[in-house]
Amino acid sequence: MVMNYMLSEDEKAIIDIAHSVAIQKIKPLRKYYDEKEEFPYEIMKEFAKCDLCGTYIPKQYGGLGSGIMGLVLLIEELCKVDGSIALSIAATALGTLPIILFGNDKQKTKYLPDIASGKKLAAFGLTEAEAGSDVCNIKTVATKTGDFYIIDGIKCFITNGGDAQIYTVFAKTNFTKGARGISCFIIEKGQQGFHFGKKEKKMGIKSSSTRELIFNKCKVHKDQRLGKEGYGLLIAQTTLNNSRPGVAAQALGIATGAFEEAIKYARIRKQFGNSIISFQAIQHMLADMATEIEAARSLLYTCARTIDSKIQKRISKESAMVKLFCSEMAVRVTLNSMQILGGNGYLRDYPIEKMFRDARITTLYEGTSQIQKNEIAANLIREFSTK
Amino acid sequence: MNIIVCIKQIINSIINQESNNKRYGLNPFDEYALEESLKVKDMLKAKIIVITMGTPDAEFILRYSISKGVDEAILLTDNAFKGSDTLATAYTLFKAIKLINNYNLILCGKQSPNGNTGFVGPELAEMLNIPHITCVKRIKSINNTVVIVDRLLDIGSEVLESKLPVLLTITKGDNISRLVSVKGRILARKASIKIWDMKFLNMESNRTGSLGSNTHISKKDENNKQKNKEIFTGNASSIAVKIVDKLLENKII
Repeated sequence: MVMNYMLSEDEKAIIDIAHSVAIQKIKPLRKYYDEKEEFPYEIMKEFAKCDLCGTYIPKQYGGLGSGIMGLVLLIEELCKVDGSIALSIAATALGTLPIILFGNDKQKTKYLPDIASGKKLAAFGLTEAEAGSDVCNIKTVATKTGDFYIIDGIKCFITNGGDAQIYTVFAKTNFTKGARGISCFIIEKGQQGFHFGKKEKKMGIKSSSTRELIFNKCKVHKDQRLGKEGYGLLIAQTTLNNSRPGVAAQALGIATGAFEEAIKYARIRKQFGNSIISFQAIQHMLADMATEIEAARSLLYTCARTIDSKIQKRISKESAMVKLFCSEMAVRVTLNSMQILGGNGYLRDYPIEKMFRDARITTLYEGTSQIQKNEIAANLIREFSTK
Repeated sequence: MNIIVCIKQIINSIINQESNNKRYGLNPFDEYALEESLKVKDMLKAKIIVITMGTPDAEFILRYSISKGVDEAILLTDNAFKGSDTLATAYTLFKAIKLINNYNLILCGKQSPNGNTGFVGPELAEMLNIPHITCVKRIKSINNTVVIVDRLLDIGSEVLESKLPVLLTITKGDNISRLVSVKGRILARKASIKIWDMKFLNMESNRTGSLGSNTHISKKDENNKQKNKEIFTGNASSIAVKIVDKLLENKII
């Protein structure tokens, strides 16, 4: 059904293995984890055994070296079955990308192999109560004393918070320098002065944990700082440009899964003596959904390939476009899938309502759709001002 | 520890998730044998070699085995092997194992669902002049000299101990096949498969293929499949009721 995207043999292997893990290990338990809101540790072990934790991590650090494309294909395939369990890997990628992109060799050697092997999960600590899209407004502070920084503050909405061992955390190192006053630190779970706050109760992605990170005089050595002091905002923006295709892949996977449920249902559901798929009203909905999904996939794969090729210096516009289009598409497709299932789609006996709940987050986190549009527009203005 | 696992390609009765070739698959009992060998490798330092006798396209079950963690794979293929019965098959495997000449443990599936004889394992053990245990559902413990196994009986099971080398034929136990890893899959794609023919095995042509077989199929009755088949008619809900009644009647549920 999917178009031929000229994937490499290694990429096809990632999809195949992800598919068998999703079908054999995740599908039987997806409802359980959703209803219990439990973190899926058992499934994490399966991911580790099948080498699915480090698809995007370079080979010299124990990963598969398949880049953002490797991450995207993995997340898409897993999310066809469950958009919530796969998030633990996507969020780990988000927390790991700052190390891959800006870490020195010592930091990479220390952290990446454990993440690639699945021994440890990572998380990305940027958001605060008063600093969502407005990153520069973060209040967490890192005060330098000798070779150490003392970190104080509270991060919120941190995916994998509490369940990850490695955190890339952003804090102000200079309040007078604005955008250039933020720095990024690697902080490990168990560090003195680093605690976890309440676990959020969410509409969807329930098996994924979302917690507060609380720093109270947390002492971090300067070797734990990523990049130069004051480069935090650049690290955050570059990371997000690379990670947004991951969210897009989550959205695309959920949409594809919902579409497949809808078309299966439409074939067997009979009304007025015929399968409902024989009705043009349903056919047109399915045709629209399939077209949107394939358009999203084409844009996403092209963007991921462009990032991996490093041909293009700026990727923020395309990365935002992918996230915007895939996430909004996923909400439309899951809603329309529910429409095709009628009342059954609204029941928790069918997977569609969960898929809708899981899809909804993709238009919100790592920048809302409106923020993506800002990013795209800012790039357009910049491009056309030089013409 | 050197382990040899003898496997066979069969026409697929169950869809094998991992196989791209849906028409053929690995004999499910061999799948259990493969998993038992991998469990031994998890416990102690072991090298696993898989062998199959078959047509060149049986290569894919060898690559599949490598993707699960097997170290080496050998395909025994030759037009002269065609038509082998269990004795001729066992003899061909025997010649190959003699060439490898370094083994502590040999595992076979208990039987194949298409041949249903269960002979090859015991015949092979006799030719090698080593002990064998059939219907093993679990290797309980193993070291470099002794293996202790659970052997399935009609009612319950028995615990047997054997010196190594020994040949075990494996049946279903705690040996549900593990998932393939991405690195395993990539490794399997690139792995080289050894291909041995009759000349390489230095075999007499009258000991393999139909020439080397003492038994020959004189007639096949495919209609047997129809036996015990019952077709229910009616609408979906009434059929469902009939099926459940039948299952209850036969104490299946």
